[in-house]
Amino acid sequence: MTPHDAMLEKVAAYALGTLPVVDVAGVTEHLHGCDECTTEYRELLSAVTALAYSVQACETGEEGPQVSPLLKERIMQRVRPQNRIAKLRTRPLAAIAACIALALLGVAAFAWHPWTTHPGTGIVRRYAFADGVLYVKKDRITIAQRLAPLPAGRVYQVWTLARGARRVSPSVTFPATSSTVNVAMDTATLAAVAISVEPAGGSPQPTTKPVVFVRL
Amino acid sequence: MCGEWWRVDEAALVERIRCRDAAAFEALYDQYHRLVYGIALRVLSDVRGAEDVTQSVFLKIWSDPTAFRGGNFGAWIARVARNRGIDVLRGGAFVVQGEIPAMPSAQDALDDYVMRKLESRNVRSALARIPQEQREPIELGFFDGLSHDQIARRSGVPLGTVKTRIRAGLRKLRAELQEVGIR
Ligand SMILES: [Zn+2]
Repeated sequence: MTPHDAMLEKVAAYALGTLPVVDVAGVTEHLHGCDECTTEYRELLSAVTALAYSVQACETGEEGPQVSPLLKERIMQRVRPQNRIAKLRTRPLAAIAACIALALLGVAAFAWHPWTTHPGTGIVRRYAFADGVLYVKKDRITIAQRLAPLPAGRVYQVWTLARGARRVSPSVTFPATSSTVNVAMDTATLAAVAISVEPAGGSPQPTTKPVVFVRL
Repeated sequence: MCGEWWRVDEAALVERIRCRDAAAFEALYDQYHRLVYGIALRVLSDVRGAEDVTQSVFLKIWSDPTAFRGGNFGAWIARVARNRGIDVLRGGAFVVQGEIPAMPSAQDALDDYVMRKLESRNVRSALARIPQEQREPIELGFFDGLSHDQIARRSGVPLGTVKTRIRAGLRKLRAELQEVGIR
């Protein structure tokens, strides 16, 4: 084994996160001057990241471990402004009930749509957000939601972001009472979906920060 | 102006978090909590501990967004979650290599396209094709936080063999991922 082979083994350990602390400075210094090792590092780092993704949890537990929806409530309580915290603290039971309702809603949404009767094709992608679930199919998106009630004159508006685009495009508006919203569209280049609160009738550009933001 | 919310790249979200934008934080959480929690659970084998690690990882981002210095966010947060989990596992005595470095040219190592294709199922099937003797030291090192010495002792193979197998296994995993369509 050449000294450089030994270095490549250290580079692999570095990518895996198992390189002893005493060797780190030497390897990083070497990486800055060696294209071969830098390429190796990049490639092996992507393998290590994939390894990490192999244990990714999911919302339903149907594949991999399940994440409690209450964990997000707990974390967001530490992040949101104080008035929001007070509001959340007064309704823990309501939150739990809503989570259960949401889980049922998710199941129901799958049952309603004919395109979900072929689960093996992998064409329906599911993204959970705080107050609902976004389903993405080739030719439509479906939003199952339990967003907060709105004052009179306000609606929720869906925004879509195409890959590479700098600005969102306006899409449909809906009232808080619409538990399921369908938007027919080609989702091939869809990069993100957002929902904001807008005046009735909708806006050409969002006027408030989104209450939902899902990156695909 | 602290960034525009429709810019969705993680660096922009982190920038908005610096401006105390809870919606940006929530978007980041929505995108990455399953990864963080899954890693923490794999490391700790304990739901409560995994939730605590997930909370501490995200609140650390909220309190100190500058900790992310660019590059691929998924790779970075996966490493943070793993290190934090092992730190808890070791009772705060985890001393091997720290966070993923911001490599000068590694930032595009995993572009969004690749990350989107990192379906757990695909990766697991790729992993299953790595010889056990190579997969085991990789998993012991990454998820259990064992040093090469500890892996060698546990597996009863020479230290040099452990190092060789880790590199060979990671290269094999990389090749298998390409086989299942992950670049
Ligand atoms: Zn080199």
